Amino acid sequence: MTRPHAFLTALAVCAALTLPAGAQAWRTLDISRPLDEQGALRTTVTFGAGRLSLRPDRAAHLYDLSLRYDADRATPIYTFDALERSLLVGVRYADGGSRWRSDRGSELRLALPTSLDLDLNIEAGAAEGEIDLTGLRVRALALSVGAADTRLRIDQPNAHRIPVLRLDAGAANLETIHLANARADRIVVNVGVGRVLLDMSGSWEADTDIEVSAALGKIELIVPPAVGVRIEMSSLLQSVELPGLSKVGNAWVSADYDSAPHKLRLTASGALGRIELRRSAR
Amino acid sequence: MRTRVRVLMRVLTVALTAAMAAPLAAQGVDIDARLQAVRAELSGLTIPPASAFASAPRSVRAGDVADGPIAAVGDIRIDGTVSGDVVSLDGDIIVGEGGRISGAAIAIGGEIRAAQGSIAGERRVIGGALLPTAPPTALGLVGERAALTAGWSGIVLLIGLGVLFFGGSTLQRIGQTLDTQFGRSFVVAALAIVGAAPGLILACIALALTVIGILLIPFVIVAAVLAAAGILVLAFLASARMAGHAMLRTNAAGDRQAAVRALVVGVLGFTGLWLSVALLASVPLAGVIVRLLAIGSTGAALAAGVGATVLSRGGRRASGALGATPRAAPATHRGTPALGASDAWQTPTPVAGVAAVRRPASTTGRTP
Repeated sequence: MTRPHAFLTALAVCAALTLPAGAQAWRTLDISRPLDEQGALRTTVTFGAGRLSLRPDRAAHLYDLSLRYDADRATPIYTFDALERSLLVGVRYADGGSRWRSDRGSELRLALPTSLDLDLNIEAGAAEGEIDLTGLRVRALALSVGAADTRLRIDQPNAHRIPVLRLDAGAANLETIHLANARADRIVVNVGVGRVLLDMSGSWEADTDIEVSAALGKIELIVPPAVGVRIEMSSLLQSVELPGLSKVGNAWVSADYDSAPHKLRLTASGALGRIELRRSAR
Repeated sequence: MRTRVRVLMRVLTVALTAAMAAPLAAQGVDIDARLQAVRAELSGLTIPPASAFASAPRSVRAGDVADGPIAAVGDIRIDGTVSGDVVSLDGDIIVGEGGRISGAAIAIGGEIRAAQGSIAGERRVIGGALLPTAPPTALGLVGERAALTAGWSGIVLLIGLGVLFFGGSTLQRIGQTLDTQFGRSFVVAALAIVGAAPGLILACIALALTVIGILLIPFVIVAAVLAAAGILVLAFLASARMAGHAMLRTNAAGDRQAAVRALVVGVLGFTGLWLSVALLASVPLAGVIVRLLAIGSTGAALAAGVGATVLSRGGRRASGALGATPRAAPATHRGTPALGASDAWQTPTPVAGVAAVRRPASTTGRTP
């Protein structure tokens, strides 16, 4: 072997040695507990990357959890405190935080009962989420998404009014469908550089206040035609697309605002952001 | 003769016993290790010790009442009542009609089938690759670290060769600055390292004050990170190349072939140092000493390189242009000072009959 060839071979060997081994130890964990009627359940979900699914459970389970994770890099989080009635589920990574690198094989599926009151706190890093709260009796809801596509839907009116519903989307694309069914008095939305779709269609029983804080993000608002809309912005650098609204003082107000049976008041603050309004069919 | 046969028979008996016991012992160790792995991974899980696991499938017949925990390697069938937990390893838990478990049902590497029976407690099914990872041997650890070191060296070498071929003059200028202003490079590196983060923060604040500049902040941060990475790579390559020249006792202003050779030797020098760390990692005192030596020398090389890179404006400016007095060039392997980097151009004095040597304008950035 000539010298250049030997040198190139050595380089190739070195490069080959640097290739990641790619070995993963996928583990599955399925946990369920029979339903009891001993009171509300406080549930916290913390999940870094992968696929996240939360849905109503039609079977008689207090909770039904399915986890899939890479045991080489992560450990499952599962705690149920029967006295406190609190459930904590998720995946913890070895470095202490949620790894945002690709972890597509990871999955968390959680089903919760439709017969118990629920307080939900969901923190998803780079997880693609499908959160269906239809039929659940939600008393409190906080949803935080890091950097992935997440959809939250509520197809039936919630059994409770939620005093404050919190939505955080760092760099994520968060879509909420039929959010009026959540029956929230106040919705607080924080957006970094992501996009949040607030589809406020659904059952309207009372007025709703929405507080938006957006750095560079975009808020898309879909509101039923019968709902009066008033949008107030504290930053001049926010761009808007508000068809059907006219400027009154420092706010944008719909023509039928005063006579509308239900009102949506939105206040927006932040550096740069965009707010778009669309009217739903009904 | 009879004694020999007796001894032979004894040896055979012992060997046979050992051979038969080995798999059982291995199985015991395997079960224990696997259970430990599951316990470690799933905190709060109550799993009986390995000794409590029956080595064959178990069952509780209809009408029978058994105290838990019931644990077995293989299937467990419950048609009666169990007061407590049921744990199966590599088998299913089947709760038949009328069967009842008052505690939890835990299936490790199996399933729970209880369509007709009832489980009062929690159901846990743990699946997947449940074999615990074998603890790495010392040799394996050394191999792993050595492979990692070799891999990094390979990457650095590839990058270095790329830089050398596409921007050799840049590396040469940094190397020259490093050679002529070694101490100053350290000082500049210290200032650069200390001032980098505050400088970046100040830049971001200044951009934020302009309001419209907020848009640029993410780009500035990304650019700063890329610049820092570039400086570190150039710094290390320049230092490695200089170290290679020193090891080969060649001139830094040599041709491209010499530069490649110096770079390879320099990187291999550092690789050797870190391979020593990998080899001696398990040795208590020597391991620590070699590691400190490697960290110190690599850190010093990086620091000096960073300083030289900053001083030479990323290799765009020769050290001579900075106003520094160049040191006498190191002697080449033939004992002749390098032309252009020393006062060699001053001789010979033009005298009658002897043609004067032309003074080179600058040797930096060019190969002689």
